[in-house]
Amino acid sequence: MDLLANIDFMSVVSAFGAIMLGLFVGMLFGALPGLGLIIGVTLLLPLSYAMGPVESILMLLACYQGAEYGGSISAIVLGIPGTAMAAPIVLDGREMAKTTSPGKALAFSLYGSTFGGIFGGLVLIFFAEPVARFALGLADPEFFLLGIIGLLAVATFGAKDFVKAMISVFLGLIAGTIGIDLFTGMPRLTGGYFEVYEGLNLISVAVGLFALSEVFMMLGNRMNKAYSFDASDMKISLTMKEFWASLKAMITGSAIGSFMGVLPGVGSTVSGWLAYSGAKGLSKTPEKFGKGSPEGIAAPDAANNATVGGALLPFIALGIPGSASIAIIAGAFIIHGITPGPQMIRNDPGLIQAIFLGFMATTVCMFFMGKALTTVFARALITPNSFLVPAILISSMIGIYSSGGHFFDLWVALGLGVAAYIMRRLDYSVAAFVLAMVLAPIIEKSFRRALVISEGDYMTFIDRTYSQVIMMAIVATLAYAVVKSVQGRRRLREPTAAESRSE
Amino acid sequence: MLSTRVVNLLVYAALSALSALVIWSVSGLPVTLPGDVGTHFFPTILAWGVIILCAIGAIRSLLSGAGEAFRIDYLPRVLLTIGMIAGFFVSWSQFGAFYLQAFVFLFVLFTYYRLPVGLSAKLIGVNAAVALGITAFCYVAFNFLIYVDL
Repeated sequence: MDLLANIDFMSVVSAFGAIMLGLFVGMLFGALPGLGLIIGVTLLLPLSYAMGPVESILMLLACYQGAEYGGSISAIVLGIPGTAMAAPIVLDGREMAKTTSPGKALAFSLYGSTFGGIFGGLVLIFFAEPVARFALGLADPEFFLLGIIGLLAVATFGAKDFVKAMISVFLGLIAGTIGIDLFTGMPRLTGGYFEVYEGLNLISVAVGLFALSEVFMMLGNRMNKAYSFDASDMKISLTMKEFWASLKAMITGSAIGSFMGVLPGVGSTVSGWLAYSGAKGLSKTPEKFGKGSPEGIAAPDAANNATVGGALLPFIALGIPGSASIAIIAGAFIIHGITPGPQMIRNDPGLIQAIFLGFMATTVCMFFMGKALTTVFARALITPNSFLVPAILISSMIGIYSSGGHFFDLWVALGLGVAAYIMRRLDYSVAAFVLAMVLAPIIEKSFRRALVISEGDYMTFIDRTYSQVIMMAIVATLAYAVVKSVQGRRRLREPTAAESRSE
Repeated sequence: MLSTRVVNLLVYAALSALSALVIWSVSGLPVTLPGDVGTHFFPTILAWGVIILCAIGAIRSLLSGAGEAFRIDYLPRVLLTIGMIAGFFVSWSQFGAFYLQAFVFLFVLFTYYRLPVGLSAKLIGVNAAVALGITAFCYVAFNFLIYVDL
C-alpha cells in the first residue's frame, strides 16, 4: 500500500490543524478529572459538519489519543486519574512525581503513550486489509451476529450490572429504530415529529447522555474545590538509557493494549491494568512496582494508547464499533455518508490511506504537543468546576444546535441528560445505550435482509461455519455473563448472611 | 427519603410502560416484503426484551434488601441548573440573540455556583470577565472559523 501517494499540500495543512485541535481538546479533557475522552469526542463531533471527512475523522482520533495521555497528567500531578484508563498510572506515577520529579514521571508516560500509539497504528495498518478481505466473505447473518456479540460483550465486560446493562442495550436498539424504516419507507416511533424521521440526532443523544449527565453529576460535588500543584521540575524528557530501560514494558503494554482494543467492550480500562501486571511479571525489578517504577508508568500508558489502534481495527475492517467512543467517532463517518467496513477498504483506498497516515501523524504530534504543553494542561487542573460546568453547558448547546439547527434536538439532549443522570446512579450503562443505538441499523438491516434472502428461514443464521463460530462465542459470552452475575449476587449476599448470623 | 430498591422498582415500572407504548405504537404497521418480518418486528421484540429484563430486575430487587437511601446531593442546585437550561432554550428560541443570552446565562451560573466563596465586587468582575471571554471566543470561532449561524 502506497501511503504517501496523492498527498496535496492544502489537505495536509487542514488535516494537521484538525489533528492539533483534536489533540488539544483530548489532552485537556483527559486531564480534567471527571470529563475525559467521551465528552471530548462528543463535543468535537459537531465540528465535523464544517470539515471534510478526513479532517473530522482525524480530529476525533487525535482527541481519542490525546485523552488517553491527558488522563495520566492528573494521575501523576495530583494523584487523581483524569480518566478511568489512567487509574493504574497513579500507583507509580504519583510516587515518582513525589520522590524523583513530576516531569520525569510525565516523560515516561508520554514516551509510553507515543510508543503505544505507534504500535497500535501499525497493528491497524497491517491487519486492517487482511481482516477486511476476510470480512468480504461474511454475509448478512454473520454481520447480524457480530453486532449482537459486540453488544453482549459490552454488557458483560464493561458494566457493573448485567441485567441493567442489557436493558440499556435494548433501549439503545429501540432508540436506533426511530425514524423511517429503510425497507418499507414507513415512519416508526416518530411521534409525528419530522425532526426524527432520519433517526435521533447522534450528537444530541451523545451530548445528553455523556456531557449533560456528567455536568449534573459534577453539581453533586463541591463546585469551588481548587487543586494546587508544584509547577517546578516539569521538564519532560528521558535519556536514551532511561528509554531503553523501559522499552520492554512499553512493548508488553503495547501488545496487550492492541489485542484488548480489538475485543469489543473491553477497552483501555482493562488493558491498562493487564499491562501493569504483565510488565511487573516480566520485569527484572518487580519489587520496584508501586514505588515509582518507570516500567509501571510506561506499560499501562503504552497499553492505553495502543488500544486506540486496536479498537479501530474491527470498526474500519468490519464496520462494527466495539466501544461507545468508537461509536461516537462513527458519527463522523455517518455525517459524511461513509459506511466503514470491507467495502470502504476496497472502494475508497485513498480515504483509508489518509486515515492511516493521519493516525500515525496524530501520535507523533501528540508527542511534541505533550512535551510542549503538558505544563499548561497541568495548570488547567486548578480550574474549579464552578467555571467548567457553565462552559461545558454552552459548548454542548452550540454543538447540538449547529449539528441540525433544530431546537427539538436541544430538548432531546436535556431530557436524555436528566434520564441518564438518574440511570447512571442506578448502574445503567449509557455507553452500552449509545453503542446499541449506533449498531441498531446494522443489526436490523442484516437480520431482515438475511430473512428476505432466505425467504423467512431462520436456519440461515446458523447454517454456515462462520455463523456457527460466532454463535458459539455468543453462547459462551452469555454463559460467562450469567455465571458472573450469579457469583456477584452470591458475594453480595454473603456479608449480609454473616451479619445476620452474628446478630 | 426513597430507598434504592423503591427507585429501582419505579424505574423498572416506567421502562416497562415505555416499552408497552412502543409495542402499541408500532402494532399497526404492515409487512410488505415476502420473507420480511416487517417494520414493527424489531421494536416489538426489543420492547418485549425490556419488559422481561425489567421483570427479572424487579424480582431481584424484591429479593434483595432495601439498600441505601437514594440520595441526590445538592438537589436544589441540580434542579435550578436544569431549570436554567430549559429557560435558556425557551428564551433563545423565542428571542434569538444567542450570544447576548449566552453571556447572561454564563454570568448568572458562575455567580450562583461561586456564591459560597462570598459575594464581592471582585468576584462579580471575574465572573463577568470570564463569561465575556467565553462568549467572545464562541462568537469568533463560530462566526469566522466554522460559519455556524446561531
